[in-house]
Amino acid sequence: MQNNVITGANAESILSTNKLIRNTYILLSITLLFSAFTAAISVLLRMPPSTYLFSIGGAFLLMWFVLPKTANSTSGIGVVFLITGLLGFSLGPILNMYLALPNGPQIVATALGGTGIIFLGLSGYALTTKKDFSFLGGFLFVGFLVVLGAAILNIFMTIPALSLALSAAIVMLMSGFILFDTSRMINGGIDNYVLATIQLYMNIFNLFISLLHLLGFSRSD
Amino acid sequence: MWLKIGTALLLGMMFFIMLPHAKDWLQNSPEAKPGDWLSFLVPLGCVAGLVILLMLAV
Repeated sequence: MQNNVITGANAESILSTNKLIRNTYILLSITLLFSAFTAAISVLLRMPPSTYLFSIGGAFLLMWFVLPKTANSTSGIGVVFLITGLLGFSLGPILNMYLALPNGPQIVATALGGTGIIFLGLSGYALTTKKDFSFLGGFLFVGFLVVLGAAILNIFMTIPALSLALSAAIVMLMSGFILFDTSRMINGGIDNYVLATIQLYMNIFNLFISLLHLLGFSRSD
Repeated sequence: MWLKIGTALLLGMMFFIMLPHAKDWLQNSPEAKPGDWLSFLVPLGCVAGLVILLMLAV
């Protein structure tokens, strides 16, 4: 009788984890498509560079102040679409800049493909091995703060080598965060699929932009 | 110039919002077990290799 109770509790936990993973990846897929749609609109409208700042600023304000309050209700899904739509729209000026380079479409397509391969590969690794990567928490968050600090300095110093190093560091950090966030879904640590979706989305977004920067640098004639 | 200032302010806000989370994770992160760091570094090495390959291919 006691073994049946324990097995029942385990089965419920497994079902709950599977439901979380399924809902997260479904919402992530839809928001990525929506984000690509708003990015395409921004590219076609040839939005000015200031769009990047205002769209990202709006998305971050929603993420920090609105999403935590709405994550447990259905309105949280609407907020996630708003955030990802704004972030996609912010990519327009950046994509137009890279598309104007020689071989620009190849750079953008390679960055997109590379982001997909990295995300799917790391997610698949975390999901199949079921390893607990929560030990990375301190390392990743502190690393991200160091990169943020250096990025703020580099806005005014504009050192190309530092900019490149920062992009490389962000690629590594976001890869770590993909493992970390996916592992938290499997092993506990996050139980809300709306928050899990936005975390994974931000990892993919930052990964794509940094990869674009690295590839654009390697191709610059 | 104002774009740079705006971006710096935004990143600065992000820094201060993430700071308590970083402190919390630094204090409360579980210890790594034997083999944990290797299981993290190997896929990261593969990512680095892929990025270098993509940079050479473009």
